Amino acid sequence: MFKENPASVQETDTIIGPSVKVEGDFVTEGNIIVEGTICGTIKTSQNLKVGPGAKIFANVIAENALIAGEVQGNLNVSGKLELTATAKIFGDIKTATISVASGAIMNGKCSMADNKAKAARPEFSKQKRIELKPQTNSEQE
Amino acid sequence: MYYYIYDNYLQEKKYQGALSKIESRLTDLGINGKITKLSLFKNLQKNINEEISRGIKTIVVVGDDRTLNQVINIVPSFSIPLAFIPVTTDSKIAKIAGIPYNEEACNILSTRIIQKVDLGAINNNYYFFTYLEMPGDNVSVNCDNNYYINIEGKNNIITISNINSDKITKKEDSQIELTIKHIEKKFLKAPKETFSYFKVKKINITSDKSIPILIVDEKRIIKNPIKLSISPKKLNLIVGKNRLI
Repeated sequence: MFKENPASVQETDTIIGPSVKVEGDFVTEGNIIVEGTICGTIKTSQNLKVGPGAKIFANVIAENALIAGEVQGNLNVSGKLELTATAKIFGDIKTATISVASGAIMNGKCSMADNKAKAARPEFSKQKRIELKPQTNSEQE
Repeated sequence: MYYYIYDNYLQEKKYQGALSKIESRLTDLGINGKITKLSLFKNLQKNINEEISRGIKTIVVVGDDRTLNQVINIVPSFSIPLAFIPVTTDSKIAKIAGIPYNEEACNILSTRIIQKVDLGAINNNYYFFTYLEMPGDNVSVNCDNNYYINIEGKNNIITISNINSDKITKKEDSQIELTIKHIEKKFLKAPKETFSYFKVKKINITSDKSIPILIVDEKRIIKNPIKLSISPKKLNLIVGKNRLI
């Protein structure tokens, strides 16, 4: 998702550095890299990368997300969500695919895919019981 | 009909050779015209207005990036094509527009490829082509009226670019790029630089005092708040084949 090469850096539309604090509704069509602090909402139709020192106090909507920092708010990721060992999530997660590294902290509900993927519950009460016949001595021999 | 504007410093002896070569090349190409020189005591805006009413079709700036920036701010209308003949080798605008130096730039002028380019506007009355720099300490930046950027600590430099020769990303996208460079200095350690980068349409900068800004070697002090955006009027610039935009 985020390869460390110059091309991916050039494609990034927004970089929020560690010295910067952003407050408000942050809506963009491009990739976002967060190393600083954000309060408000974040919405992107592409990828979001949250660095280890970053703090997000916002509801997040993104296509794909790689989280290594702290997020206090709900995460809504339509594609893949990747939580590294340093990630801390305090909020509900809704995603299609998730990958959680050992050491990541998650506090909140996690729901994946939609209810259509759920199998239909069978009606157990209407089912006939299978009655087993007691075995006779001759059958036992 | 061409109207040539020479920078004041071209009167120095070391530029005489280059100027005579440019002028003879322009005569060869049949595109010579009236020449005027930038001066502190001359109201060039009035002169340009008179020449436009006489029917000039192209304004040609001879000098460096600073000269072009000065002329952009005195041209009353951007509908007349603007050409540039750089006489110094460090021109960023020449690199962006694919214009060679000195007399070779005359060929670009005669080829006459006109491209519309964005201009950055400061408070809707001062224009810049490339970028401007300002100190980023104790300022609040409002982007697109949607979110605020609070810059923490000292040693911050804000760069706002319309077109940057180091990283060309656009021609006419009506967006300006905001870069915040922070230098973290620690005792007995090498300074560490971090960057923040945003693409926005409108920027409003407020501070508790007037902000000095640097545009192509020209320092200006502007009272806050500073409103920055892309001018709705486009500049018609004559560019070369090797342009980056």
